[in-house]
Amino acid sequence: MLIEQTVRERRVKSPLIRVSNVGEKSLAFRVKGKAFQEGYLFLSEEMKVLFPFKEDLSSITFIDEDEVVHSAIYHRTRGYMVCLTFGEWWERHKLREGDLLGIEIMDLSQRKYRLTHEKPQEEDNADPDSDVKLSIRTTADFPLNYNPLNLEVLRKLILNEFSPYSETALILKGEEMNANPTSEELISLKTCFGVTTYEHQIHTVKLVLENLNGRALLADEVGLGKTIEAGLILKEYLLRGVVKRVLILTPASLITQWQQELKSKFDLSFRNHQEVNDWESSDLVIASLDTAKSQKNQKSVQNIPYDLLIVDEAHKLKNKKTQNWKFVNSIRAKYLLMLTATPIQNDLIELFNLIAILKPGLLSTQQKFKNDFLSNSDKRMPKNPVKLREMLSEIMIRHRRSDTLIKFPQRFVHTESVALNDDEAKLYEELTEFIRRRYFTLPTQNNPRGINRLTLILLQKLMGSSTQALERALAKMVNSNFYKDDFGHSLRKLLDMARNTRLSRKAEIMLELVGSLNEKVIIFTQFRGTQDFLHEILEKKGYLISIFNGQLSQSEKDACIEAFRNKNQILISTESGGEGRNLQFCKVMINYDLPWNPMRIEQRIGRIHRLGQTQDVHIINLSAKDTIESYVLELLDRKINLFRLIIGELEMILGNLHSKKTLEQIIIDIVTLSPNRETMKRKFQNLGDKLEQALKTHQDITQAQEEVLHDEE
Amino acid sequence: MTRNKIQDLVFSFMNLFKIPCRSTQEGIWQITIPDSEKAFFNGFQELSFTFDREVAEKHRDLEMIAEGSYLLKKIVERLIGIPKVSRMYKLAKPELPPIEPTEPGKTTELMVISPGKVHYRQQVIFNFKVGFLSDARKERLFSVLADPANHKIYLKKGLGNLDPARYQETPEPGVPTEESGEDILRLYLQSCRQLEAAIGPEVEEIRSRNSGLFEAEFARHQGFLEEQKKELLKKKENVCFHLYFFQKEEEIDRAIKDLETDHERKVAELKEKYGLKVEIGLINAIVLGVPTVGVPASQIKKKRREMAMSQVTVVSSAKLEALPVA
Repeated sequence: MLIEQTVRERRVKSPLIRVSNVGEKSLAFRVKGKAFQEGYLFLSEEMKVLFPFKEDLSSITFIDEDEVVHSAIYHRTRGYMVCLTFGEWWERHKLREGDLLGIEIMDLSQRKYRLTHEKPQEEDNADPDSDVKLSIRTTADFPLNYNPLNLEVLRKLILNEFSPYSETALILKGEEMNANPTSEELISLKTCFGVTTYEHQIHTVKLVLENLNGRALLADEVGLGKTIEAGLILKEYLLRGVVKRVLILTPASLITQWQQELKSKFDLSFRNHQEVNDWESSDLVIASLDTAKSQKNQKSVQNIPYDLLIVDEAHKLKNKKTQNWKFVNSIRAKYLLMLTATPIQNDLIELFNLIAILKPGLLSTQQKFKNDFLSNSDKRMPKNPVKLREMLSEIMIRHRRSDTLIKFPQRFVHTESVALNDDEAKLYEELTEFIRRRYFTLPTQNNPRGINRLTLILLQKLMGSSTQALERALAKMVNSNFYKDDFGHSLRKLLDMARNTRLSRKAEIMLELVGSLNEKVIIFTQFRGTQDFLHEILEKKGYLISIFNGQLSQSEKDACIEAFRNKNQILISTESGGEGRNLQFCKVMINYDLPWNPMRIEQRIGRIHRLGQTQDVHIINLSAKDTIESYVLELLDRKINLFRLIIGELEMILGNLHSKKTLEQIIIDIVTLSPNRETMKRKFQNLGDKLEQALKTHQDITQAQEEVLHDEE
Repeated sequence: MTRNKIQDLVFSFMNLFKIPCRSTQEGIWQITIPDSEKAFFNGFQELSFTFDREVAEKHRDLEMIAEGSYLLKKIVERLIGIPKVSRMYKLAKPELPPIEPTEPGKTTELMVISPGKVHYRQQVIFNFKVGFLSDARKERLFSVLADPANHKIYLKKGLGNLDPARYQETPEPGVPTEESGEDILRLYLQSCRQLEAAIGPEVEEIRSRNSGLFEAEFARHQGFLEEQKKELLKKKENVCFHLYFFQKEEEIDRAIKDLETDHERKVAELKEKYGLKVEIGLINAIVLGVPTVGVPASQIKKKRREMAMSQVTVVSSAKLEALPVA
């Protein structure tokens, strides 16, 4: 396509420049000839002082008296400047040869100069009303930047620094590869790893990108993959080059999980706030809300203009009088995603407060919102839900499980409560008493004796797993010869008892269970000692076994999972087992021991029962009667139905406990502060009641979402 | 982008930076990283990778290189940051030299062509990338062919890739290359100018769209601010009945001020979000030598001057010869 032709009727004569005066920041000069009008300014040595640049080529900006911008390129070695619009300026000011022109430095660092014409040589005799036809080419009237690297290409061109075409073509290939696709295509879908995306998730992503301009409340029901949706949106924006700096705010307990998921599924490496000395230094940061809003960090976070802010568990921002709300509202972010399955908990105003951060004014003022939507009798039910839902559709996306075509398989839970044999029961009693007596005599941190309170709790947990695991730990402590006096004596006594216990009843039950199953089984345990023990007894029975723990290298882990998938019947895994891996080809799981942290149990279950599992899943819990583990199991199974929950519901229920301590910490307190078993049982019962209440609250809240946010059916 | 193109790009990249690459198993490659490139590969000495997602799922220690993956992004970013220029010579029969356009009222000049002579006439392709950044990011690729001989500039969408079968990197022996004398910088500036004109309509379209979005959001923010202020001012009117009404009034004034500050901040964010920035990058340039019949232009002009001198002599002798014969 022919665009333009330039015409030069004759070769330009070498102009003569006469410099009238040179100051520190300005100079005046006259030109002869037509070079200047043709766009060339040849600099004399005196003039070059005003352009003290080292590069062969520099971009120079001239601004004339009419504030018109002229872009020039200065060729240092040849001593000239070229600018296409010098001629236009000349015409506009009706200049003539010999007129005095001026150049003044405006900003040397920006290479900006003022271009002026001084007094004209003679009076202008031209008729001011005469029709002077000027075709002034306007410069681009939009903010336009030329990449500084352009001059480097020009420099090579001028100096004939040619490279083989294969290298140039390679760069062109790279550019074509890097060029944006059309907006309908989601590039992020091609870059997910180990993720099955569902229709409702793609729908959410497209809606956020195309209709909601990157600010939305993602409020899908629990278990539908809000994290995946947020990850897809985040990745899409990153790949499109629209977003560079991202902050994710989430409860502290979920930071590691988010980091792992973003890395394993989206190939995104987010830095934990603890790894970051300076908030500005990292483009992708994840932090807890509490840390980000702390006095130490608040200002730093508020000063950074984020491209994307993601807030998980956003229902924590339901009250605009809280520091949480004020802080998040003060963060600068071009795009904002808030994630919560329960945008309404007790009161519609909570929803209003969330929306006020996302899209202020959408629901008008609080007063008006109350007048329009709040009923006097019920704070959760709106007066006109249809209108409210219509307004919310501009900012909120919510899917229910029933809206999707996804089949959610069931979880079946079987608990085998096993009586300890006599040796085990005696050992258990002895150990529990030892810990009770010693716990508060020890420090919380490490000390020269190498033992602290956590060590004792660990011994308690080891006992709950297997005497073999306990024996291994005790042997290590005794063999270290570190512990003298009666402490060491107690340890040796416990070790002897552990060594002399018969095969535990729990292990016998486990062998029977495995023998009765004719399919693949994953056996989870917290401890290597128990893992080795189970490996030994199962191998003796002739089973083919894969062993998975944190000691394996990456390739060993791969090989282990493949062997389990293709050949072996049993996988014995510690907690690290299967994170991010698809183990849904297995549908039976045995919890040989139970962590006191229910989130870890949930993560175990999540290996085989998650979005994408097509078969019903069986979970078998083994616990010894009248042990702490049996009380914990009672809490989790009977009180909050842990094993029948949807993935993600547990966090929400535990959130309703409103306790600063984690459930595990509360359990430790009960174990260590109870003077005897009866007190311990009573305390566990009280805790159970609280959990039941938390579950009920959760169910009420779930009901509220249904009533407010969905059409009555 | 198909997988093969990604593979081509990655292997070419390894070649360019002299990183030895070998296949260890089907679908798996390994590179040994020289010291000079260790920083690029985060300190690793060796790296195994695959382009195949299924292989990557089975071998989690492999780096997967696919569209959107981190390593591919790094490779592409590094490549496009390298300014390169090349020169290529067209493999074709010599063309006739371009004719300078005739001005109205003037007769077309006849051109002197020396038979049996060929030279390379130079053209330049500038490959540009234009980025439009606002709440969305778009990129457009253009190539501009500048022909200094006939002072023409041709702009087209997409990059100026050459068919390697039609060009070679070295000139034919004995064929001179014309130095056009045209200033490269001037050609570049003219190309930029054409580019600016070409992207003008798209800029207008984006600005118009963004302006609409900005206005809508601004109106919402503004309306919200006004309503909140109205409510607060109404509250202020009623506060006179309060015992500590001075204090209450001050609180309300502070609240109004906070609202206004917050509003200003949010409007500034909106402007930043919907404001359009355009960046023009010159990716690279390719000088083309086009075989052309005749001698280089500079020699033609010399020849013309010589001819002009000899024509004067011819006219003088013709006058003598034109004496009438009886």
